[in-house]
Amino acid sequence: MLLAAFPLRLAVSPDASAEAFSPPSSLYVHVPFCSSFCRYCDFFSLAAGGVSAASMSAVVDATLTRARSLAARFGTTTFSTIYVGGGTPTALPFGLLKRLLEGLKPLAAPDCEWTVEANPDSLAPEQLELFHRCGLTRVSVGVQSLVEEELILLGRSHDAETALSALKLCVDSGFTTSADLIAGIPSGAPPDRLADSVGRLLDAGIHHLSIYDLTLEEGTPLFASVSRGELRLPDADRQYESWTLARRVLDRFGFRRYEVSNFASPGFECRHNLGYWRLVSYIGAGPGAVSTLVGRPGGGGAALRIEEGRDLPGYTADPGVAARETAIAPRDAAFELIMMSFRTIFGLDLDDFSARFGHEATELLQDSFAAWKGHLGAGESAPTDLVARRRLALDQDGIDILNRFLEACLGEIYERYPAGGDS
Amino acid sequence: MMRDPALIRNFCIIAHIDHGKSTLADRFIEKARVIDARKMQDQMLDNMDIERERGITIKSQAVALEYEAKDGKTYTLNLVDTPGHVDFSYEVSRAISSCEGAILLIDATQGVEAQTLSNMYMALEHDLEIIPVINKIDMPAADPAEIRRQIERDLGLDPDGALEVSGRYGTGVDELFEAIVARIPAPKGLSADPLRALIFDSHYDPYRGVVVHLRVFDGSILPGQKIRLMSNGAEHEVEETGQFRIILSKTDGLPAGAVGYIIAGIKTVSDVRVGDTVTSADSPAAGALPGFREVKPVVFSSIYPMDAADYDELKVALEKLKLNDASLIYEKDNSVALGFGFRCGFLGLLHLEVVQERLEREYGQSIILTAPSVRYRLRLTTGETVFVDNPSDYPDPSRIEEAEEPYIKAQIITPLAYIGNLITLCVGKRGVQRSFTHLDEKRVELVFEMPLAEVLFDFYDKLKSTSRGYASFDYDIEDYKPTKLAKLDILINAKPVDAFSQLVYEPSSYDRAKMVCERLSNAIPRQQFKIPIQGSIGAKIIARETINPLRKDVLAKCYGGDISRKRKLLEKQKEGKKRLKMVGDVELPQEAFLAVLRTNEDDGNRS
Ligand SMILES: Nc1nc2c(ncn2[C@@H]2O[C@H](COP(=O)(O)OP(=O)(O)OP(=O)(O)O)[C@@H](O)[C@H]2O)c(=O)[nH]1
Ligand SMILES: [Mg+2]
Repeated sequence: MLLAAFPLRLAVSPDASAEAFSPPSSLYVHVPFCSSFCRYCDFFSLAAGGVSAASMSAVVDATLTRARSLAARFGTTTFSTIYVGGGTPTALPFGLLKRLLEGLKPLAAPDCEWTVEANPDSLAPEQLELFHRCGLTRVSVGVQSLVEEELILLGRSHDAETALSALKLCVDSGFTTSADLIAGIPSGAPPDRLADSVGRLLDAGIHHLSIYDLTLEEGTPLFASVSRGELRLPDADRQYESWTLARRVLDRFGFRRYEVSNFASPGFECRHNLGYWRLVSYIGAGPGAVSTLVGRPGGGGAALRIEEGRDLPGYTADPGVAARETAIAPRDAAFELIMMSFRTIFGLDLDDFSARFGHEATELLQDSFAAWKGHLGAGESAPTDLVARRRLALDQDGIDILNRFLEACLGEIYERYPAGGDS
Repeated sequence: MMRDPALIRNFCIIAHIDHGKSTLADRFIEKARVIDARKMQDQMLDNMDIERERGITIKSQAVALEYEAKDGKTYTLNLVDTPGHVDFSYEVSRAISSCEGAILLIDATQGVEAQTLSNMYMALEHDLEIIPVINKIDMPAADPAEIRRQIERDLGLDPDGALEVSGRYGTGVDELFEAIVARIPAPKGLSADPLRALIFDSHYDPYRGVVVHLRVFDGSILPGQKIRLMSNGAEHEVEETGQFRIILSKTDGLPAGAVGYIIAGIKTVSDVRVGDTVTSADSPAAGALPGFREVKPVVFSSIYPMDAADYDELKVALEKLKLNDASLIYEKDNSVALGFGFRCGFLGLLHLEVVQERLEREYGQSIILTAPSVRYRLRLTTGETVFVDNPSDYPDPSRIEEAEEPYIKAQIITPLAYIGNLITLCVGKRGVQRSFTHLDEKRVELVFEMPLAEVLFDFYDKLKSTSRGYASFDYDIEDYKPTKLAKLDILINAKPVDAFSQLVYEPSSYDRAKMVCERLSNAIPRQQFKIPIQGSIGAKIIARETINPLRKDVLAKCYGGDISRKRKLLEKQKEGKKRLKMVGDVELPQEAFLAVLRTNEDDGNRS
């Protein structure tokens, strides 16, 4: 577990300090069950087969109660985006999935972007009907690869055809459809294989695509295979080549890369995730979920992070007790805003930064910005912008090497951010 | 009370590496109950981290034992455990200067080896009484009868005087105690004479200043007494005297013949010089004790602080380390790439590594070392002769009439089975065979003449692997011989980095350049631009590698649940970058410098 820099236990609601934070507009709901385990994943999830229906049901109920109570505590009645992720939400028995979504329905604002994650092999027409009835708008399908050897290597339980037909089903049912792919799988496949998969996905009519490099997490079976030398990760040049080829296909289909790993036809960007990348307040309910409440403008900038407990019996007994609350000092919160904002082509909203922290980002980061001026520009205006904003964003090549930029920013902001304050 | 010198015995344990000196010292410490039995551990006196990790002794270590002999009297035995590795023979020589006797330990399964002989000669030069002791007799392969033959034939000592022990199990140690009391002479000095004590070591205590380790030859030292250091006349008042009993143990004085320490409020580290004589300020002795032979470093390298701002801190650390490592020699140096640092002389490659590690661990220094070099002799066109060990001092080649490099006489003792491969190894290192002698049915002695520079570079590792660890190696610096020398420069992003320059044997310069460039290209992480790495001699590029630019990080997801983790990850990466050195606009990690420094040819890890 991560140890917080400034552990601070806050009283559970009713809570006067809740007013210090901007009210959350996004809700994340975590369903910690999967029907099978993938060989690369270290995400918090339990095998659905190993958990009794009664305890799954208790988790669903506790999660709903928790979502309502966090919303009330921080002054929100309905959310403009909801994201139900996991785990695999569709691994829940139909009745429970129904109870969960129907329970969330009152929390959805009228124009709510409401996403659910699904696995290709657990997606059935009656589920899509349920999604419609409840008002869901988006389905995000974990495809990971369309290369059979790679699917086996990753320990995925579906094949490429199942994935494609699941996607078509979503598209045809009128959902904004997103797919995930993993790049850099140590299968020895030629570099154009990723572009190939991308092309087939886009042909299927999806609106949104995420591509992640495989990261080997310690403790996963895939990590073990690679450390034993049974599998070899493709080298940096080969990965770059396959990435470049895939980008070409995306361009051809008019997909725009709007974040490090995310592509969309313009207008189909994921609003929920854009919220994270602007570091707005959001609520996370369900075992292992995380909430962040950011400071109101003019309030000094301190934020609050709540990590939900992961132990199921503890969670169902009292999610509030099982949660860990950590105050994020203004300087750390400021860096987090930078870290998240520069992930997208919309970049950092300079007005928002100064309103939250009372300092100009262009002063706090003058050296880093100067050193990176070749990659920095005014950025695209964001889908969420109502009026023109002062923005600063990295260009595409800059986003490719974002970490370098962030390291420079980190050093500088920690030096320049005025000490003291309220943490 | 101060013990009568007649009841003192000062002796050291000397041997070839791994023959069991420190283990035998454990048995002495145990039997004399110096410390609580529960606190005993193996190789008790090897208390430095590096010693314990590597399983070898690096520093001589003294310990005082109270022993009640069969004659009913209680003796103070000062035992000094010494290192066996050839790089630390200076430690052995200083231990020998503080003793009247030596236990010459011989591993009953290995027999007489290179350092057995050279350490014995050192002890004989100082007229020490030598007790040959055959160790490890518990081992199935032990052959004490054969060792006795070697003692007579190879060492010229009386085999009947040899004792047999097992340092591991304590067998024969009681007899050894008695032999020490009976055979090693008591110290000769008189407590009434003017004080003369030899500083054989010292260390720095942050609270109490310099702790001086000394052997009193004449006179005695008492707390409160005013002492004078004879080399520089500095005077101090003795605050405390004591003995080494694993910890420092206070006494009410040190009589003639004693080995112990004094604390005299000395904060100026440079006042104390190992080898100096301490006398009394009120009634000084007429002349100083002989002191120690001059250290002759054979390997040179420059040490720079990772962060140029830490130069002063490094200087203080070196001064303090020098107190505890008299064989370290250094002077100020500077580099365009790295700023100010120190040119250091070492007794060998292992010594270099130990100094590096001690600076890092004991003194918390973050440092960079340049490639090790020998000292070359150059005859210039002007007729002048100069010595050069630092590539930055290398004159323009047109001014060099002739270059010479130091040669060694390498003595290798090996079981017969490995001679073929060992000869191939030495010939590949420009060695010329001088002799080949059968020591007995199983062992041979090979003598080669070869350039010292070749030994610095990947010789030990190869020797050990070729002989599966069985060959022992010793060398003497002989003479200078003509050579073809060239200065290899390394350019990173088209700029020469002086810290990477090295003096090389010209015919091998292409190979060396290629290897250095390859290693650097593996050790330097990709940066935002393409980085050429070139090796050149003069204006001629002889090797080239390229580090491709970093074009893309790992594309990792970062959503609402990942923010804290991601921030901490970046903080950690940033912390790691503190160990990067900016050279021009390229960030070089410490590994880049290590890659050049590393002297073994294959890219595997060092043992
Ligand atoms: N069987 C057996 N092994 C021994 C005996 N004495 C030492 N050893 C082993 O030999 C190895 C070397 O022992 P040390 O006491 O460290 O040798 P050393 O002479 O002090 O080595 P350096 O200080 O590095 O020169 C260790 O593994 C010991 O356990 C002995 O009497 N019998
Ligand atoms: Mg030892």
